[in-house]
Amino acid sequence: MKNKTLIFVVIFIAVSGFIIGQNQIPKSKAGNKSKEIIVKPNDGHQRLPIECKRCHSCDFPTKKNPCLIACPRNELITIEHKPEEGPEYVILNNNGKRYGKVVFSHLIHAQMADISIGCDGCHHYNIAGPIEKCENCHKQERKRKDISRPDLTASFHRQCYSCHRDWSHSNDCSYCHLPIAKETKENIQKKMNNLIGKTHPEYVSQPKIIYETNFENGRLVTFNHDEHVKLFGLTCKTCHQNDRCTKCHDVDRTYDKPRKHDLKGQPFEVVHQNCITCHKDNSCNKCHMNEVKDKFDHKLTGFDLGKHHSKLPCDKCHTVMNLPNKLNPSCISCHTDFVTGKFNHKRTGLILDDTHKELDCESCHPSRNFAQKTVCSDCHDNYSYPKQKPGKSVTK
Amino acid sequence: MNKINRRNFFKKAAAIASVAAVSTQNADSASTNILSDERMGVLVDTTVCIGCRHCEWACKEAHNIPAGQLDDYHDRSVFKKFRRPDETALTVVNEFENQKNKLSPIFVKAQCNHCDHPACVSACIVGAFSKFENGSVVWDGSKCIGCRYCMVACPFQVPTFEYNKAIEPRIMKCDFCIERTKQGMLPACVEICPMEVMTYGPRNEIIQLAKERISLYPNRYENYIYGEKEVGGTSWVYIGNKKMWEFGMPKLKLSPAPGVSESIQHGIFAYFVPPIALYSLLGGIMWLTKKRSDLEEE
Ligand code: SF4
Ligand code: SF4
Ligand code: SF4
Repeated sequence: MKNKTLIFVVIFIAVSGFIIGQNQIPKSKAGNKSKEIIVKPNDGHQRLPIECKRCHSCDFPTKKNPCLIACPRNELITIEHKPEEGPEYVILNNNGKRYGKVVFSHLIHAQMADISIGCDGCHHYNIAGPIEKCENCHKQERKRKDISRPDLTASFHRQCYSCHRDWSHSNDCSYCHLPIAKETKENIQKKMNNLIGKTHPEYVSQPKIIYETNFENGRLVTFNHDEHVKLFGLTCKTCHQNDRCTKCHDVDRTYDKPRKHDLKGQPFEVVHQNCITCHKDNSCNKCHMNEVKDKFDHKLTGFDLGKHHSKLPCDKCHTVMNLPNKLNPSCISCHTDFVTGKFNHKRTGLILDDTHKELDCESCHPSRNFAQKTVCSDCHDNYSYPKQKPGKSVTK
Repeated sequence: MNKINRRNFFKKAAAIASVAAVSTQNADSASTNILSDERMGVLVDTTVCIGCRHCEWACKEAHNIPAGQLDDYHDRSVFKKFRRPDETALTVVNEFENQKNKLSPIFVKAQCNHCDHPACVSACIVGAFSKFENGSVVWDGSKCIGCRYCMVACPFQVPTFEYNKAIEPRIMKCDFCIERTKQGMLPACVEICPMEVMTYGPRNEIIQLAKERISLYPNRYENYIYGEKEVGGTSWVYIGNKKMWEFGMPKLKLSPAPGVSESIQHGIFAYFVPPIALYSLLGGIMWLTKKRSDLEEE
């Protein structure tokens, strides 16, 4: 029996080694003898475009001795999945003696990972493929030979507390754990039911934030958050990475008061890191002022968006988003089909009658400024639009 | 425990004196001071402690000190006052402000640090303190005469005296859970800590581990291992985001500094001052000390 298994393993390794190709396995050692070298031929993690030494300290890591280096987690490469692909909840602490189980709301946490610590904030070392079990590296036993990594209990608690301490100001175990006396099937089920179909509420962003800075020629910086999201179409991730949960949770959110920018003494690049990517060519006074800035009003640029353009996303016209470059305000510069013969007037809600059909646009729209009022009086005394119409109104 | 009270002290002192007069070796051989290469240690990583004080509870449970309910230890009002280990709690956790993040204060657990060159061992004139092979420094009630020199000598102000106990008061301090470790168990505080703030292992590995953590996370830790060299090195060592003397620990010399008492005891034996003169001197000091502490108590 044993022999059969061995033969099978050897064949399996030889075949899969062949399939994967030769470059992932150190050639000199990839022979049939050293079967330990190929850990899981199909999970493909050897194929990652990273140096083995990024994670392993020895030349030939084996399953028995993966010789993982001690956790420089932010340098690790992870393949991230959508939060929805993960479980909604995970039950933790199955053998607790003093404290009961934890029904962990995985989905809700994962949904926030994007803008905070990322999946690898918890699943560090998970470079590819299925999620590694924590206990593969963090041992159950506190008394152990290899003390380079915290044990399982500690590694969980450390993960949770890295945010929850700030958040709840509590180290009360029952914040997460069911009390051992109440650890009944029904109670666990109840907790699980609470999480089924539950997602993290949408972020509520405040329309504007006023920062108080130390800059002499303009102490206040008004950041119109709403505009950046709604007008400029930036995604949360563009600016928010590595946010602490406490940025929203358990913070006294009084936005109308100027907020102290807690970046005192930091270099220029750090203080301005979120703005500078787009605003690198702007002068300081674009943002630094001595009074709170009003909302951005397009009228001030000389082009009133009016009812026709106000709902357009900025990049519809301003192709280079970060440089609101001056555009030619004449309609024809964008609407190349606004010319006689080409334009189907029905689009405006008015079908021109036969007489007017033949006219040039300028006859009724002086200087082809279609934003301005239509002029009838050039030809017709006492006629004015829309009292008198040069055709038939239709619904658009 | 065969406790010697103060009245019996002079009787016993006279007896010892006659022995000591024959050989000075006997007085020293009463205590051990082994510095084994395999001695154990504990790394206390103050950056992960959450101040749950489970360690305090477990320590009391393990030492038959009334402990109460574990859940009651989440009460944070105790942090208003700086506490030291005492006869009712051999280890205590204190809270300090974290300048880097006000929402997450720093918590530091204190107990006997089990010095490699313990001042308490040197100070004890009857050899009631011993440093054992596993690194622990332990008090032996059957030898103690209650002079409390250890309390004065300890640079960390660890040993305390059961002042409130009329019969057989004991010197109380963390014993590195020697009864548990003898049976292959972990010290009670190490075992219970939800965060594994304390990593238990051979002292040389512990120091290595501390260095590794500091080099992996230079932003998280101040590059200093408190106890690596302090007073000649301690079995319990600390790392944190600041040097430990910012967190209520004394700033100490790196050389062993066992204190005045050692020079009295060892000096006298070294120069072979007649033991009777020694004991009358020590008795005098003791009487003075007692009078002072009595006054303090009133
Ligand atoms: S049990 Fe651990 S985390 Fe809790 S106070 Fe003690 S050392 Fe800190
Ligand atoms: S800390 Fe104090 S009581 Fe503990 S071994 Fe050192 S000198 Fe002795
Ligand atoms: S080692 Fe034992 S005696 Fe010392 S503090 Fe921990 S639990 Fe208490």
